[in-house]
Amino acid sequence: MLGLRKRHAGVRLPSAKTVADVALTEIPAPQNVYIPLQQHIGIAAEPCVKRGDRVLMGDPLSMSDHPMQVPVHASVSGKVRSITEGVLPSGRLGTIVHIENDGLYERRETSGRPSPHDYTPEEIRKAVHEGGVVGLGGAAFPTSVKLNPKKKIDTLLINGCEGEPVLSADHRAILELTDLMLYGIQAMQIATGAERVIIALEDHDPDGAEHLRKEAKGIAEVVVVPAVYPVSGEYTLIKAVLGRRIPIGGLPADVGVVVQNVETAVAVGRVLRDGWPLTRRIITVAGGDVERPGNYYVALGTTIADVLEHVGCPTPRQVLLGGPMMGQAVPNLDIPVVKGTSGIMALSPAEIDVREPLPCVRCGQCIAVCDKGLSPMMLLKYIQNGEWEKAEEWGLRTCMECGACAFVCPSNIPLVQWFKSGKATLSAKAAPNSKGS
Amino acid sequence: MPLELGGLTMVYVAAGLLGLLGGLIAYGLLAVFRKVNGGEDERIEMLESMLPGVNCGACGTAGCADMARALAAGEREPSGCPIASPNTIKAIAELLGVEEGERKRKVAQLVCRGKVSAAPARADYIGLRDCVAANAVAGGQKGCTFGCLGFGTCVGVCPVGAIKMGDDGLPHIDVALCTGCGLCVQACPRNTLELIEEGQGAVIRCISQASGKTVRGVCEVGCIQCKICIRECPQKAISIKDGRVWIDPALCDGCGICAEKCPNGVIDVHLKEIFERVSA
Repeated sequence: MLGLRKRHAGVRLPSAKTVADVALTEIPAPQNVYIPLQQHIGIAAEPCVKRGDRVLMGDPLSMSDHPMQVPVHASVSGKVRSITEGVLPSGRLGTIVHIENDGLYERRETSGRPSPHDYTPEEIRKAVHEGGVVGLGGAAFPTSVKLNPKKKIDTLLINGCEGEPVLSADHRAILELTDLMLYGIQAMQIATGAERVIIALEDHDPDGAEHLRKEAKGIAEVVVVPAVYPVSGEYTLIKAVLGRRIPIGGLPADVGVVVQNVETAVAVGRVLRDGWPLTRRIITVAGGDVERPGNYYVALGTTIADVLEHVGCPTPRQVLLGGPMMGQAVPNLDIPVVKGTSGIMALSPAEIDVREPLPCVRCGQCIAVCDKGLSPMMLLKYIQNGEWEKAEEWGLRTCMECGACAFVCPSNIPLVQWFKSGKATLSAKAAPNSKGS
Repeated sequence: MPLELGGLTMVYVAAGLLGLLGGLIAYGLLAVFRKVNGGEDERIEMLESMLPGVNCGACGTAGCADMARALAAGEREPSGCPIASPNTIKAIAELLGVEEGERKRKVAQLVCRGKVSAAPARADYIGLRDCVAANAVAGGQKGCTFGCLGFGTCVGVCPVGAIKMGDDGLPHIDVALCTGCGLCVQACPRNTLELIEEGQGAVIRCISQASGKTVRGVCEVGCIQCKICIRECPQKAISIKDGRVWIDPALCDGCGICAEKCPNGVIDVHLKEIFERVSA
């Protein structure tokens, strides 16, 4: 086993993995699914269906050869009712394909190959792109682009750390979908040409680590990192496991590493072994208002309202997409689950933080926990005073919005919101025509 | 023998001596200042006192002092200051002996009519009371993803206090105070403030690029892109540009037919009155 290379800064969060032992179950697809064409970082691909078409499960709804234009697929069989604009999880408008589920779940004919070694790197990238696979850790970056590194890659790092409290979708994937995951990992090793494969897990997931040490023998090394948030972020994880630091504005490939989330590996495995595209994902649904919290397979395009209805939360009060640390509040419940949705939290009043912020006392705790080495309290002052040059100089743009600083702040200052707003202002100043919806 | 002086005389002598000393030092300092600062254009100081002194930066220089320097150096025309009064610009032109330059007044106008009652929120927003911050959380609390969020970020940046938040949740611009510096336009994260030039006939008070159906669902007074105005305009001044209805100020003569025909009352042709109030 490897030793840890470098200490990183951060904060030990209560793991609160209350649903880690709840096995995966499926939420049946609802009567209507709403599938946005834009579910990834990049550009939406052009739709290849039209109103009135009947589509089978797994049929592509959009297509493109451009690696940054990832296709999306039908998650049910049925009729395309409309292709119109609607509200995306980001709160902004985008094109959404509305499919009425005919309840037959008729599947498209697909075929795969029994072993990842039957594929060439080029074939893997093509299949991954056509299967609509994007990073399922949350950022939804096109996976085929990451599997086509422009630099020499020596290590493929599989991120099994779920830094967010509560979320345990990756944990379940490791335990229940091990074969598919290992297939995907081997395929990604072939595509990137990495000599070494490491699966990193947090120390509060000993079951997963033990399981993988047995199952992944000969395929990947297993490393356990201390669960000091945000070790699950790829910048911090690379530093913790390999002792390498990504330069400012750089990518993991700059230090010879490609990082992939375990659920992404599962999706890659499914595309290559079964030929089945990404039409559903695992989501942890939890929070005080949820009657039956757990880890669920959810068909992409299911609305948040339908998901919450199924788990016994018909009238939620506040809903977050993602985990408690970085989750985004949603403006309404009609927005669909997309590839980047890792969790749905329906918070009870006791869980909603409504304390008023107090003045900064300059205690410096935020500096101690920032793994990017920033001084959140100084950045706050510069943003509040409109000193934008200073804010930029002090590294506002490098903030990854992990929320560790806001978590430890004794004055309860919403630091991350200040930084998000500050970054928006910096971008608007750099490109004045880019603001707005 | 020590000089004997009365109490009062002593005060006069002391005051006189100190006064003399002070005068000598002042003269010395002035001489040194002249020697050191000899190249400085004396007009700069005068120009600076004539300029408005708001330091809004709308002219494109760093502030009024920098504008004074640029004027003296002949880099800018007197009309380059968008907020000085016509009399001031005339005086500056006379002082420098140059042409005033062509000048168009501008005022900031809100291009959204979505007050809270007409364009309701889709969610409660808890967080920083700031438009940029609210906009960064899932596109803000407003049902319309284009309209004014109403937290008054523009109010905070206005250097002349021309903007006030109304009870309807929208900022109200006092055109008599607005100098057209454009700082609010830069600060607005939704681009719902625009600088309108003097002479423009009409303005469309909605910037939504969404389909009519979507707009109808979130706002009673939004532009649904029915295109009636485009068909009815005798000047053919109205078209769709960048996904929204746009009036070409060069063609529009402010006849007001579009405003009459618009089913949602989105078009405003009262700009002339607005500019009359500015000049008053």
